[in-house]
Amino acid sequence: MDKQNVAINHSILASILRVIKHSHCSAHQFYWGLALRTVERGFETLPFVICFYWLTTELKDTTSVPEGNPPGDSFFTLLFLLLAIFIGQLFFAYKGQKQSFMGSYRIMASYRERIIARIRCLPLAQLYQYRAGHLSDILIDDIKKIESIFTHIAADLFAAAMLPLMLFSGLLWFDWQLALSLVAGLPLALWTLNSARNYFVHIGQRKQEKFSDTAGMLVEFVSGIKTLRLFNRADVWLCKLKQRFDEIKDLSLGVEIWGAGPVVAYRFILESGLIILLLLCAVRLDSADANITWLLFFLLAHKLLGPLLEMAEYITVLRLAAQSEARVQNLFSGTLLTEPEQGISPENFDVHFDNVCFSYDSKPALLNMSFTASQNSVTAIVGPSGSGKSTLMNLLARFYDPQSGAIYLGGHDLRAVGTEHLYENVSMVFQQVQLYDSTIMQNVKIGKVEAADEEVINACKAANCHDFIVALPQGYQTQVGEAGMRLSGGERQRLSIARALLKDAPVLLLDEATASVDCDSQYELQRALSKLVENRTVIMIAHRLSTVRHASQILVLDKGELVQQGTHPDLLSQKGLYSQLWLSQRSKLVQ
Amino acid sequence: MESKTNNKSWKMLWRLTSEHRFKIFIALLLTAVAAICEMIPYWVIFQAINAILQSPIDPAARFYELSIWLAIALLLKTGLYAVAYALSHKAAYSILLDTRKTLVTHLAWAPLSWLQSRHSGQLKQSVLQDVENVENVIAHHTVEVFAALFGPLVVTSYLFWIDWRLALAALITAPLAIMTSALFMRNTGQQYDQFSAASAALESAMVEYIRNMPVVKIFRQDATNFQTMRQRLEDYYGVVRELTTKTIPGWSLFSSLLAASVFFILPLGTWLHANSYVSIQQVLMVIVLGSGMLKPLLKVSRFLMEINEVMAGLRRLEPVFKIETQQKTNKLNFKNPIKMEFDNTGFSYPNQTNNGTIKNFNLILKPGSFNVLLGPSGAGKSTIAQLSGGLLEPESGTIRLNNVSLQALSQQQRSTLIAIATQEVFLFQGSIKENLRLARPDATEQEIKRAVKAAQAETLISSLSNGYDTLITEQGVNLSGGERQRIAIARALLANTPILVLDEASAALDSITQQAFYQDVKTLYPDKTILMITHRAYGIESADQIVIMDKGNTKDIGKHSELLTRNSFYKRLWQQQSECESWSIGISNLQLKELVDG
Repeated sequence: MDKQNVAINHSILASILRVIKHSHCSAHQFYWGLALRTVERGFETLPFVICFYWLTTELKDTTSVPEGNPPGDSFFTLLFLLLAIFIGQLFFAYKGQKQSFMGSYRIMASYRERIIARIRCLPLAQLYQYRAGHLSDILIDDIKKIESIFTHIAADLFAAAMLPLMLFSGLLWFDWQLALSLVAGLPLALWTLNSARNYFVHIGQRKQEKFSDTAGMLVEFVSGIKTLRLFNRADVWLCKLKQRFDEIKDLSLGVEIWGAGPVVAYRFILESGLIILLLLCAVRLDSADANITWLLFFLLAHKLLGPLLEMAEYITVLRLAAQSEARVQNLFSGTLLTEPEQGISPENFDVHFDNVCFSYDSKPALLNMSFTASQNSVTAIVGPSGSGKSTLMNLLARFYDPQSGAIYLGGHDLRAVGTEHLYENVSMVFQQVQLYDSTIMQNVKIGKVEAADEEVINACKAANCHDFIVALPQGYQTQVGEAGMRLSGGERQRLSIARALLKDAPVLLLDEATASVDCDSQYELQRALSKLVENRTVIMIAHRLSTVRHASQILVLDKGELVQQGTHPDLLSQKGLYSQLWLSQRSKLVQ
Repeated sequence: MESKTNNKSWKMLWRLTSEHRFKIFIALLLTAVAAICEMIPYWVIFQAINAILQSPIDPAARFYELSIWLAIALLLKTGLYAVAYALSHKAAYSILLDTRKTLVTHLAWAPLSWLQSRHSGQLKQSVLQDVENVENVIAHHTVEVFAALFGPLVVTSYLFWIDWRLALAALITAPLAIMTSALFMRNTGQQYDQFSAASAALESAMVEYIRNMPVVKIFRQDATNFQTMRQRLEDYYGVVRELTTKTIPGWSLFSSLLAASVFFILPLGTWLHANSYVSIQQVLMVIVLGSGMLKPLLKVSRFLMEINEVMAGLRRLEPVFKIETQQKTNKLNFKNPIKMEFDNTGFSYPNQTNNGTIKNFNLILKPGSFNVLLGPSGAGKSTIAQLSGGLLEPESGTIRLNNVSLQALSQQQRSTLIAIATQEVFLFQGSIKENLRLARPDATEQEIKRAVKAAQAETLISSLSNGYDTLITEQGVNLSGGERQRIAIARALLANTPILVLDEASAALDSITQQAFYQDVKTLYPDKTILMITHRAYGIESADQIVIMDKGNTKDIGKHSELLTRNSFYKRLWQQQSECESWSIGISNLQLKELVDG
């Protein structure tokens, strides 16, 4: 029985063990709690053993029952024994609960800590890729479910499984045939439960997918409601949403059928063991007399079957939690960026791409990219949408590592330089590098943590954001991010320019699109940018070719390949993509 | 006070069940019958014990008969519970469905200011998770809690039928358990609140940790961030450990007492039997039945714990239910050409500085005219756009289309008259074509092409790998701000309305593209009345009227040449603009000056 159980709960058990393994902490206390809880359940059966003992002695001398006896010594022994058992049970219940709760909190605290440490090491691109909500769903809802296994279910379930096992072994000793007949339904019951598992998991996943899909749609609906109303299309979206809700209802009922149906069948089959017990008794009675030990079976039948019946409900909950664990496990299984033991602080800031290739999944995004940007020069990257401009920048910012080839900073491979030293020397003004939940002051200061407030203010003045900041209700102390003020795109970008100014790193990665959006005073902004690029190695994505006429070199990208390279006049004189782009940007005027 | 808010939530839950109460009632009825059926196996065991102890004439036949009774009872019980659960689940999921549908319908009509004060993630959580939690209450708890209360009642009556003294012994632990819970667990409500607060604090810390990770990592502050998070984790487990230590003694006593009937039944039973008041089989029966009788009550107490969370979720839904969903469906007759007129329009945002406030704003947009609204940020330009789109309603004065107030129009009709494109572009997940067709599902290929051409998005779309069918998704094409704006402008043009308001809709386009757009839109849509809200002056030389706005009011109205001579703001704008145009990365500000002057 035990063996089969283990096989059936394989994935659940594997999940539990994986959590313990990842937590890197001793599960002793937890196991100790399980043992104590089992002893508690053992104590629970003792009154029944006593009862049976009383019964046998009572029936042996049934002929000589003295009438109207006052309670004798044996009665007080009984009272004393029962009291001792109750106190023992209470003691083990208390100890067991305490140890199992504390032990599981210890495991979970450690497990959670490992996860937040893991998140810290995820490649940035992966962090950006996770939908904001998706990752927090995993880290909040899924972990909550896992925690509930440890705190509320595991100990109950374990003790519930051990009790029948103990009773069963005892009963086997009394009468193995009757003992077996009582649990005769178990194999079939477990088989039923198990064979429905795949359907349950399958439909459960489908519901989960529909759920997160609908969640995405809801967020989209809420954020786009203004647009929808302006075009009077809110009704269409409502219809779509309502249809999803209908589908969720059908899937939910499916989940319930595949979840509860087998449990109902399991319970029915298992309880049928009682029928088999009665039938076996009947068969035996055909040829022989009844035996008093049979009474023991009737007394304990429900004690033995009860916990087994309860287990089925736990198993459904556990399976859901195991699915949650699997999602968390994905976080542990992805690859991390390799970090050197000791990073290298580069002495010069030439940037060099050597045969770099990169593809998303299997879609190539950069092919054999090779170029050098020497220190304190301005390199502009131009090309149509999807030509690989952002990928190039993301690789340089080490949001990913290239799949082949290498990127060098001051002659050292970025992987050897290490994230720490890379980010020490590189500033980014990107769309993705946004603000975090804190005050404006803190957000700019993060560029240089030790900076004085005046320095921050000066940087903000230079980046032309001082004026809008002081106009905010709490000035520099205004909270930004999700919880706080909503800043416009342009305001955010000017803040990140201020941050870069303050940080004063020798290498600057710049996305021009970001810097030109909503340029309420583009004039000032451009001056800030001009200041920012002075005496730095600048790599910049350009959308308007006119803004990079004076770049030291321009890289022209097309479909992930470097197709042209040179200065503006060089490239104009060549027949190629650059001159085409230049002409198309200019010719719009003379249509 | 708490009971009052809880009361409200219960009322809300009751309201939600309105259409499905009959199903739930039947489910409860079946549960009651099933609970009685659950007694039969015990009765069978009782009879079996009888048969063994009293050795009837044909014990084997008796056992065969009993096994048949048992089979019938099990089948009946299983069947009844299955139907009861099916009904309660059907009812529950129908209730969830109705609730969700109602919620999104309300959301669709939520005032924008209301929406802006809420996070879309929270609303999503409410519509999905908070509603989902209700399922457990309706589908499981109605049946289980009812069975847990009704079951012991049936058992108790049966026990009294066997012997009243033994029945009392079986019940005696109940008041003890209740006393324990009253004594040890009177603070559970408070402790639960403490736990929820700690848990909510941890959750928001986690969300913040994840969201901030990229930024703090780039600025090498992740070590500090990690330490803070670790501290919060420790705080949480500190609270949890403290609460656990407090609750475990009471809880273990409570749960032990609920299962402790046997400790009373057994001694009393032996004594009663010794004095021949009861038979052995009666004692045994009471032990079998009575020892586990009160355990279902654990379910009731678990339910009482869970219900708090469900009720909190329901409270979060309340404001959504309160949103009004009235909508006008009237249709008024309009004859082209349409003149739009702001008449002494005023509006101010609550609790805010004067930013965006407008007062006594007057402007006439002649049919087919090209109008430009210029001014510094905070002048109230975007307020004008939002008022035109009906997203805000004027506090004073009116906005009229051919002498009909805009407020008298239904959303449906307004959207056929005025289209608006704003700076913040919202594109839905789907293909580019689907996004364009949002404006008009029945637009022909030709119309789409024309709109795309005017919006200067022709080459952009043809350069994408799948052209019009390219998917705009989170993981899909990475369109720049300017590219997204061009799609949005094309969408607004496609709506085919006589009036088009562009609120900084081309702010991310470079000056050349912007100028080309102005030219093309005039050639391709000559009859359209256009209100262009902008802070830049490129390509507006040919505008029919240019309005200079500041501090919520018009400061000057005129044509390009007039304003260039008389308006200092306008003059400075042009001057700076030409410098911006000549700017390029890598040249110093000094060089730039020479370049412009020379």
